[in-house]
Amino acid sequence: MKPPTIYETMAVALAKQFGPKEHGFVGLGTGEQAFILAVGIPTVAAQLSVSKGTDFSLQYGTLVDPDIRLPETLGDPDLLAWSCAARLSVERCLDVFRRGMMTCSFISGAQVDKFGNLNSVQIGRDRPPKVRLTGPIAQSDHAVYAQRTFILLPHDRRVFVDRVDFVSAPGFGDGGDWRKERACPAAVRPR
Amino acid sequence: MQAAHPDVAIIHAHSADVHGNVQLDPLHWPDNDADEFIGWAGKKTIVTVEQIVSDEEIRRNPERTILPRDAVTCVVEAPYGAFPCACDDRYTYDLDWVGEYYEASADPAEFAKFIQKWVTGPEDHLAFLEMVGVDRLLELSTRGGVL
Repeated sequence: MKPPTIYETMAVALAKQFGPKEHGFVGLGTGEQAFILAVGIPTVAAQLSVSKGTDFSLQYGTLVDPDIRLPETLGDPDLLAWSCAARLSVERCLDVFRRGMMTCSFISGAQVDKFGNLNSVQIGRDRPPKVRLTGPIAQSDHAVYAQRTFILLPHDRRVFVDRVDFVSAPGFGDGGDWRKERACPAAVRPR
Repeated sequence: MQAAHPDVAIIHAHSADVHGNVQLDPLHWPDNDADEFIGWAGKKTIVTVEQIVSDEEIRRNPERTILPRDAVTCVVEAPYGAFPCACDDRYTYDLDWVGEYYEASADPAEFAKFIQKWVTGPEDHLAFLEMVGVDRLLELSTRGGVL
């Protein structure tokens, strides 16, 4: 048997984190590695955990039951043809985050620091930056309001930095009571 | 202003599957859109529906789902559950019944009798509907029968 790829290993490790009843949200991905990390691996992990009854919604609001197979692609026609129990609006999905009902979500970016802050906006602190990245989309909603936010990144010194160049999704800020002082819901520890 | 989070919200809708995915018919009065907000607001949300339908039926029109199962504590099948009020395109008001209620409510003793007869008396919802009578219910139906 072929040894598993790092992405396959990550998907299995992530699937093990899911409890018996999760309401997970897989959002958008921009392309290539960012797409694999933020969308592909969580999607596969959710499918692996179906025996536990995990719920997940993909691409803003398609509520999928565990017995349903993944679509061939994530293009609009395949998503619209995908069998699901609900097709919720973007504002409703963000509302579900705000209410603290989303038990887990998944984000990726270019840098993460020791406090779990994520950067998907720029490399370097210059204004304007030398390298401008794609930006956070709804990453801050994920990081602030999901009960557990999983940050998936390549294991690389350039990625795991002491302090991120820009906070696009807050983890624990400067540490200590940073989240509490800003009325962020308490983050749940990993299982 | 702080949003309202009632301990229990109870709403009536057209259909749901056994998992609690709740749908409204496409033809419904816009006032009833508020039920969606009420349903999401409840810490516990109970939804009575005209009909429990199959998973396949819900999946046929996923955009009609106003409350996914994560927002719903339980669903209860209650045909004619809005009676004596109207239920969108399914049935209309029973104004005679409402008139009886109105007249009884003028006098506490009469009203107690009314409540005893119609509310606390019948064993369950179906017993209540039997008292109302099939003919009367079908007359209210705007689709010529129970769906």
